[in-house]
Amino acid sequence: MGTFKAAVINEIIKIYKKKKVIVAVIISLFAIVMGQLMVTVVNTGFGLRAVSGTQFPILVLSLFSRTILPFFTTLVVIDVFSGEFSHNTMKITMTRPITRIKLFTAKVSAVAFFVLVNLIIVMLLSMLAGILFNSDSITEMGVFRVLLAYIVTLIPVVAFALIIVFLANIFKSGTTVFFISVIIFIAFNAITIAFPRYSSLFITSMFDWHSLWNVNTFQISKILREFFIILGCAIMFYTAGYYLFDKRDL
Amino acid sequence: MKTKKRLTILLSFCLGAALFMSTAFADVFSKEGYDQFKDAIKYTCEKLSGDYDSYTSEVALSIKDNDTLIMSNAVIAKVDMVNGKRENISTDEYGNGKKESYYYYEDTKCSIRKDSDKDTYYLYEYENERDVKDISDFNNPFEEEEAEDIEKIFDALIGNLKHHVIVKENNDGTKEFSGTISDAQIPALINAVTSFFFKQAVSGSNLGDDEFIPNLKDDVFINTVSGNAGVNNDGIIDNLFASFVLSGKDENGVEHKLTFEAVMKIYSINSTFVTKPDLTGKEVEKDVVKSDPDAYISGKYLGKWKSDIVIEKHDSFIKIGEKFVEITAIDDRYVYGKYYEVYKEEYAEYAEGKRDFEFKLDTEEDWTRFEGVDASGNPIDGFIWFERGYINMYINGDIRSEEEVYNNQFNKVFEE
Repeated sequence: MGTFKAAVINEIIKIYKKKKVIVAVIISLFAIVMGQLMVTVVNTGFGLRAVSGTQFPILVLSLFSRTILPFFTTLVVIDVFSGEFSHNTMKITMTRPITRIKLFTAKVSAVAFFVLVNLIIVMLLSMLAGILFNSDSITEMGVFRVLLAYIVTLIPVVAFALIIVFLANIFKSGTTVFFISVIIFIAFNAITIAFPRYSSLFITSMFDWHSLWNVNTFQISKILREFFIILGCAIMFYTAGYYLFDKRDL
Repeated sequence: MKTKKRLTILLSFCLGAALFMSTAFADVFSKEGYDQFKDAIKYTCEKLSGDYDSYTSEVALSIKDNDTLIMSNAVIAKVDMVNGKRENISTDEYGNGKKESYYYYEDTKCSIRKDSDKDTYYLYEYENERDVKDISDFNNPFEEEEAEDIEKIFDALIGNLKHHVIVKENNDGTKEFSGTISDAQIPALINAVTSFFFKQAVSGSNLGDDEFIPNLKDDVFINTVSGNAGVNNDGIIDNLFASFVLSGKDENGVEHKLTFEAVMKIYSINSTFVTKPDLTGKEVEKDVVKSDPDAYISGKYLGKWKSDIVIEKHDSFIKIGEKFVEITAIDDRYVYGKYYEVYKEEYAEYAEGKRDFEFKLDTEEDWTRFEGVDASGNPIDGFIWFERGYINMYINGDIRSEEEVYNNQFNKVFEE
């Protein structure tokens, strides 16, 4: 366990050193400021209160979880896997007394940690913006809903990250992985729009499953179904990714 | 060792794949509350538009401002589709306590109206008996051509809101739908567009003599939308309640909560009886409704009808010619006629493009619309109204010079 913990910390530090986290946070902050500005303009211009204090973080999340978050997650996965393969630094990591399964899991955990941190930062920033500009409508229940919505978004995004991990273990070049990921992302979204009925087959449509949690009466069966879809997808690609990672000659 | 590991990997992968495929397909083919509710609405419309012999429906709408009533309207309708009878009682209630009701009865032979503030019954007898189908026509909106496209657009707009529709199935085969959405759950775009629409279209509008919806100026937003509906054993929605709460501030900064509520009930299916009111000894004003257009367009319209062609020039009106409509023949179905223009010699320059054509009117299709062909074979159409003592005629695409005074009334040319 000690080696695993050390490996996770090691991977997290490596992600942190890449500065992508900083860029992700800056872009998120920029998006939040722009979003709040737009909301304020619409509200004052048309005399509306279309977005309340706790609605704003949800609005941000529904956009963020479909754009910036998967984008940076892909970049981080590429760094963690393809980057190390192509720089031949994976060998250095491997020289430590750690099994491949632990190393693989440590890397995936580090990516999940990045997603979580990114979500928390965006949540705090958007909540701050929401409170500053629409202080009149903050309720405890509202804050709880926001928290829940952000936390559950972690699950589908990590499942998506595992698909990228799988791709990163097939292709050598990080650029290839990136472009294939982008194509998959666009294709999944396009199919979802064209055939909304079959949207549950594509993991990208789960990015907004937080809306299932933001209701007054939970539809347990629907939530469970979607959770199992995400879980099934995650198990498949985790196993397949590990298999390739294990077989790989370094 | 190696085989065991491979087996574990394979097993794990298969487990994931099985989990994914089974739940994903289950999800694709499962019907959420929203879909079930939509099906119930469609089924109800289908049943009401033909399958039942009779039913009674009750629809009540109300608008409240901070819990004080502004206005409410309730309609109880009894429909007997087999015998072609219907009865409507509509009641309006205003915030100041004023109540108004309106009675309407209709069958194949006559219709009867009465307002609550008068004792007179207005009886309209039809000259020709009407078809049973005309009385109880409830057109199924889902059978319209555009219905499917509208449904798709609506689904797209609703988006994730559909997760809010909860369905509860009871043991006796009935179903209950319910749902509540508060402002934090309504997508910002939908909230903004709807609030803005309400602000523009509804707030400040008059409802009665001194009732009006408060004029909301600022901080307008949808507070809550909620509803519930019950489906009976037969699969139709027999009761429905919907409420929509809009919040906002008026020009003085006073907060208002506008509540719009609707209740709908359907009952006494196949056991509703409509009885014609007994008018003996009541004050009755009788009128006969001529259902046959030919009764209006009779031989009295035969002959020449004339209108002056007048222009406005140098601050005076000058007659430059005359236009004529000549009704040449009227038979059971068609009206035949001629249209031509005659210009004075000194205004011959206006005569360019003057019209001269014969036309025909099919009274069974539409007894105001005529079609014709001019000398050079171009089709001409427009509308003609046979008024009492004169004819109005409007020709489609009839563009004149700006100087001309437009007048489409033709007066009869009397032979003296």
